[in-house]
Amino acid sequence: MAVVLGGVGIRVLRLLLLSMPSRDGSFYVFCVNAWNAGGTDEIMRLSQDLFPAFPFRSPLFLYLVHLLTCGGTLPVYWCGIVVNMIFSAVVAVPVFMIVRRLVPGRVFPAWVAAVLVEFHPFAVEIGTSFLREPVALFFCAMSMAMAVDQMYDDSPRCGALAGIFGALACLARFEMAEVLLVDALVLAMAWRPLRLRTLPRVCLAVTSLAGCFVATWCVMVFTMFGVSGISAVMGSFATYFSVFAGGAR
Amino acid sequence: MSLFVRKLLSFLFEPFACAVVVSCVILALAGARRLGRWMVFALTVFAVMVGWRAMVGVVTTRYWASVLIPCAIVVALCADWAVRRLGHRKLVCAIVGIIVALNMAESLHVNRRSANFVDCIGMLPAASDGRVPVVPASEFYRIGFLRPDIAMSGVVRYDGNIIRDFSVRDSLLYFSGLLQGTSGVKYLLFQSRDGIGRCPADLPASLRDRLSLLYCGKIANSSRRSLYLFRMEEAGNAGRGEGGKALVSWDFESDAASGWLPEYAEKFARRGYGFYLKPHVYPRGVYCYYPDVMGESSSFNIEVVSGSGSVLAGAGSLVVEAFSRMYLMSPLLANGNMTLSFDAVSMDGRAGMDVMLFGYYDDRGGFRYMHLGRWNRVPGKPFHCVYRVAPEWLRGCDKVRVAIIPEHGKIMLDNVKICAGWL
Repeated sequence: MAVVLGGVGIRVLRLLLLSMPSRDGSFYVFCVNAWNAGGTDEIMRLSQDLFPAFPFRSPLFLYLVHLLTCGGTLPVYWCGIVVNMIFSAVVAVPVFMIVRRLVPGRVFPAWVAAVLVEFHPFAVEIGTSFLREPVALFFCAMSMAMAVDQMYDDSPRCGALAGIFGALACLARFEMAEVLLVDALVLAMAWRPLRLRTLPRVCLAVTSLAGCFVATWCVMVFTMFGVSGISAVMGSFATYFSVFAGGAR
Repeated sequence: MSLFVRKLLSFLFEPFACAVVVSCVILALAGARRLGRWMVFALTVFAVMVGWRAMVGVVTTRYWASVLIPCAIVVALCADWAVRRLGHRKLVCAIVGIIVALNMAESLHVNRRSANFVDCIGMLPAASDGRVPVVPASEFYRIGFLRPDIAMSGVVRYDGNIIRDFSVRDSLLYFSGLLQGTSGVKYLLFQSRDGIGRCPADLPASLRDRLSLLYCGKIANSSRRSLYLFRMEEAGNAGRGEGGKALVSWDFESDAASGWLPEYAEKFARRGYGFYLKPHVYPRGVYCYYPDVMGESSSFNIEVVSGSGSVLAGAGSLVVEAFSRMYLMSPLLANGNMTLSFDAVSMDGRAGMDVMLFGYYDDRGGFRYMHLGRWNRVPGKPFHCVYRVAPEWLRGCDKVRVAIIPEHGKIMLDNVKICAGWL
């Protein structure tokens, strides 16, 4: 808790000293403003207008800021900063959990890792920005932490949590879908060598991971964009891959 | 190597993917209880992947932040190993603290540099047939993100009036200034710090007096004075509507063997590319120029699209405020080139802006894009800016969209024109 609070403090300090808005952030402010002004239809139209090939790359961060602004009552820019400040500060928690698991019996390495991700200047810098990375990194780290827990505890519940956090990371930043690769390989290592008697537990873990990932993804997209959003987002990802395969940037 | 494979590799080497893959290796192998051996492997993979991205210059602060998690895990495990082996926890903590402090110093240093960058995109056609060569986006960025460590200072003059002065020390920037004379000769200048205010000896007096953009730069690693003069000659009376051709010659007037510029300029010139100068660093009101040969304008059509009503159309001018963006839509003729020009002025003296170009080439919304310019500070008096885009870049596109994105402050654009035509 002290590390997290210290991290928040140093981010506030940086914000006071360097309050220049991020250049990339101006785009997200613009999107959230549109969302506040015109609702879901407007953000969907705007997203398709701005990025026709893959409009829904990072809706979760925008959605969180949209919620925090209370429909445009509060200033968008500062709400985004607050969201990032919180998420970049608490990312030390899953990192602490991961290292604690990897080095059982000694808490010192976990503290080192947590302090590094909390106070490193890069972390502080993006923690005071209007970018989607802090949210994505937090959920990604949480997903990895749950996968490691799954590896050590052999608990399907941890696998399910890894899937949920992975889906949230994916919604915060599309590239974070690769956290599934991490989770899958961690799970694979947990049961290496695979034996027949462990197969049911492996299937249970994989099913809980994948099922929770898909379910969370659908629920969140439905929450943000409604029923039409799911097909739109699915189409967006499909287009993303087709464009990607076609070589377009 | 097919385009798909290259794209796939590029995607895998994307720093976020890199971070995830490294995390994967670390976690999975740590779970296998073979930390010592595999940690070296993971670190090697990490170094190669991030190093590769850093080499091509796409690793920015937020990418570094993304790889921070695996970094922290690795450092923590190494610290644990060191404590067990050395038995000095305080010593290990001190080492980690020093690492953080060094990173912080570097971060502050980069921030300070970023705030002072001068932006300039220049392209000199290397082809002798007047066609502006295409520089693929990857090359564009590869050039742009080099860090030559040039220090520079000087003034920008236009018709004898100083329109901008700047002084940048220890910047990352490489620089292009453009001289254009009435004789149709254009010069692209790089000049050392001790040459401030002095024109190259062979510069015609008519050029010195009339139109000059003098930039002074020095290669930090070189003890010798370095002066680079790129000369572009236009054959015939090149200009709008007259179909002239451009010839380019590169003159490096100093050996500057330690400098990056001749090496890369020659390298890319040999490969038939033009010379893009695309800094990821940021401007203080500078010229952006695509000196290809402009053909006759056949049509242009500007549609101002506003997402939130924040773009205001005034009497012959457009005001774009921060946190909004303006789009200029224009149809394109097949194989046509495109020129965007406008006069920009900062209404409050603190505006910055980006100019992006999107080219749409199919009905599914496929597009390519290019960062035309980025200014940290738009001048307080009208500043004419011209971007010319080669037909090769626009090939297959049926329309383009120009996005003008203010960063902060308020910008007024005047005489906005998109000319889409034929060479």
